[in-house]
Amino acid sequence: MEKFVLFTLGERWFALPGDRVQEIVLDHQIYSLPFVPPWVRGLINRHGEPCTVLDLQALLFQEELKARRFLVIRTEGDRYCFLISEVLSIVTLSEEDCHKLTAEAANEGYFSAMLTWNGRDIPVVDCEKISTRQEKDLAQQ
Amino acid sequence: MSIPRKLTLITLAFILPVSVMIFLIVSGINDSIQFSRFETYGNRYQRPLMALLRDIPLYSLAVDEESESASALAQQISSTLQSLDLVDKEIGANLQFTSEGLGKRGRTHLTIANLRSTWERLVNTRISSQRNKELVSIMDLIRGMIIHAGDTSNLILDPDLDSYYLMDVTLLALPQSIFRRHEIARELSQVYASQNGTMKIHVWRALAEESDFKRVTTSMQTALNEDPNFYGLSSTLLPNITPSLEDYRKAEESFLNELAKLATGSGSVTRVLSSCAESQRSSFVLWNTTVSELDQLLNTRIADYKSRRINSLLLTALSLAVALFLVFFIQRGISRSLSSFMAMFRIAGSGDLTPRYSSSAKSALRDEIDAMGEIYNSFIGSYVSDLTQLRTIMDTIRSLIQGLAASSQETSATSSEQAAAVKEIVSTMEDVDSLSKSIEKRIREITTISENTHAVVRGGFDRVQDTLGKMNEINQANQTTIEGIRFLSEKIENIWDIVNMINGIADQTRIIAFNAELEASAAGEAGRNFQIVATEIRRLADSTVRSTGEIKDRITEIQKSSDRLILTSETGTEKIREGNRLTSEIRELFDTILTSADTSSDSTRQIGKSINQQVVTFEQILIAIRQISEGVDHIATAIRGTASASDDLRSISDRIAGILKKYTLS
Repeated sequence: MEKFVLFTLGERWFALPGDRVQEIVLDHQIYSLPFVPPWVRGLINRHGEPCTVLDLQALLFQEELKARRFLVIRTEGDRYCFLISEVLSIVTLSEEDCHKLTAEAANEGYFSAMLTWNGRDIPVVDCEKISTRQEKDLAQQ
Repeated sequence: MSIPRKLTLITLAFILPVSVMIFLIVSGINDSIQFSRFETYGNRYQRPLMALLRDIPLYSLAVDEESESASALAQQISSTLQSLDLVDKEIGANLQFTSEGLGKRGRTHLTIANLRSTWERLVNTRISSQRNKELVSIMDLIRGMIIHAGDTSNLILDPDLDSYYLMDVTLLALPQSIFRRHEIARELSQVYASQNGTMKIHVWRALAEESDFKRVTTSMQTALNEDPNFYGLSSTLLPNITPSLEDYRKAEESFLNELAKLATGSGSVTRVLSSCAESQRSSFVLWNTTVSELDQLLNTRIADYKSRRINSLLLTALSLAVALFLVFFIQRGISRSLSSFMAMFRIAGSGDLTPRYSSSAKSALRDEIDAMGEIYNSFIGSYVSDLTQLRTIMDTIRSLIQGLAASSQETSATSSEQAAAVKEIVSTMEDVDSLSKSIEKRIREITTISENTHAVVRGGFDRVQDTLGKMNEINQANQTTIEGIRFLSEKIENIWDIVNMINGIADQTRIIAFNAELEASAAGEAGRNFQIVATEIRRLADSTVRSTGEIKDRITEIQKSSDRLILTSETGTEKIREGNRLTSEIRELFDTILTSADTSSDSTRQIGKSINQQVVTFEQILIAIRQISEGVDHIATAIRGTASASDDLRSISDRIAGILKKYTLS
């Protein structure tokens, strides 16, 4: 059994492993950064420490998301969060409902698995690949 | 009457006043001659009278002295009386020695018969005193006859100074002195012997000197001085008068001296009578000489008048002859020019217009006839030009008249058609007149209907006014409703804010519940209970969110309903406004309709009047059209007359062309 946090980007449903989400934050001001890719929206002040705001919709669909909710990712290094539209639920699913993606499929995208919940297929965002992409893009800048 | 005859008459017209003037001049001269001749008559008549005046006192004296010369003197006096008879028979009537002539002047006794009878009484008287009395009578008769002859013979009116003063001597001064001396001689002895006789002698002397002697000498001297001023100097006057005058002067001065001496007492009566006789003698000599010279002057004057008369007649005759000669030549020149003109006019009258007038006179001698000839040439030139143009015009007119005749025929036919058409119009107009009367009747009906319509429209207008009032009330009520709904909507907005706030709190609670669940999950087994509580809190938050969502849905529905209600109310307001506007428009329309109904009613009445007038007018038009129809008939008749006239014109133009052909123009 594994917990997943279900959230939306616009009308699209996505999921994150529950153990990777540290908290949900509302209504923080985003401080923009220079010389970063468009899907890195800036920083928010989280308990006196900077937290990088990543726009998955801008990364995945090249469309800037207009929302003020953040999913803070639990990390040991630099802290970052995903800009989301809405938190839908925290669900506990069995392995049967969680389908791991193959290595080839995973390598081509930013998802690690595909959930099935209430008859809906929900991709699970791979935080590692997102982080890697962030580092890569920042290095290129 | 020909112009030469007229010129002759003009000449005679000028001769006539000249003749009258000459007649008057000659008559005046003849009157002057007659005047002077009458003066000679007076002298002739005085001669025997003066001889009697000289001889009769001498005869009386000779008889008193018983002288032998008495019979000779008596015979001489008888001879003188016979001479006086002859003179009287010849010129007595001219000098008015007639009963009528003497009667006019109260001198009927101054006749020769009376003189002769007085003479015979004097001769037959033997008594000296009686004879003296007859002598005085006969002397008075002679003196009166001399005065009458002088008055009637114009001597007293003599116009020339020389002859006038001679007349003064012969007619007045010398006879007066002779009578005065005769009186002195007759009365001297008695006067001288009487008391205060010398005084009368002084008076006689003074009168003889001042009134007689000086008058005679002065008049004679004046006559001699004036002589050269009238009809030339007389060759006999001065030589003949001077000796007689000197003789008279000496004798008279001697007589006057003797009278003066007698008056002073140194003279004698005998010497006075002797000098008186000498003075009488010299006076008669001077009288005879003076009368002869007076006759000479009068004859000279008569001869001058005759010469002047002849000269006047001759000069007049000569002037008339020259005038007639000039008139003849002028007349001949005019006659020749006129004859030339007449001949030229005769040729022109026969139709030959080619001859022209040419004057033979030099330019300085040209007269009005020559000017007329030049005018004639100019006139004939223009006349020939005009006739030439007239021929051309007549040709054109003839062709036009032919065309006119043809067109007249066509016009006649057309006018007949027009007459028929006008009659059709008359028929149509009669129909129209009937129709107009029918329309008039319909219009009266329409007027009644229009007035009814006007009443109905007035009622409809009042209804619309009421409706408009009700619509305004509805509009105000609807506005109140809309304002209430808007107030409710504002309240719902407030509820919406509260619900949003609850929803926000629920959302935050939910997020907090999520975070708590995540924290509990991260805590593992230690956080299991906490996780349950967090889950329940999240569910409660979700329930709150759902509830608020439902509330939102309800509020949204309420707002939508409210918006629809407002929208509906506003639509209703708009409809009400539209209805109000439409009602206003209807009211305006009703206003317009009412005005139109008024106008229509007035118009129908006006139309009724107009139709009435139209009916009357149509009747007049009908009458006029009938007159036109008659006029068209007349025109048709007239056009037929025109066609006939054009035929006549053609005939006339042919005749004019024939007349123009008579003229020879070149």
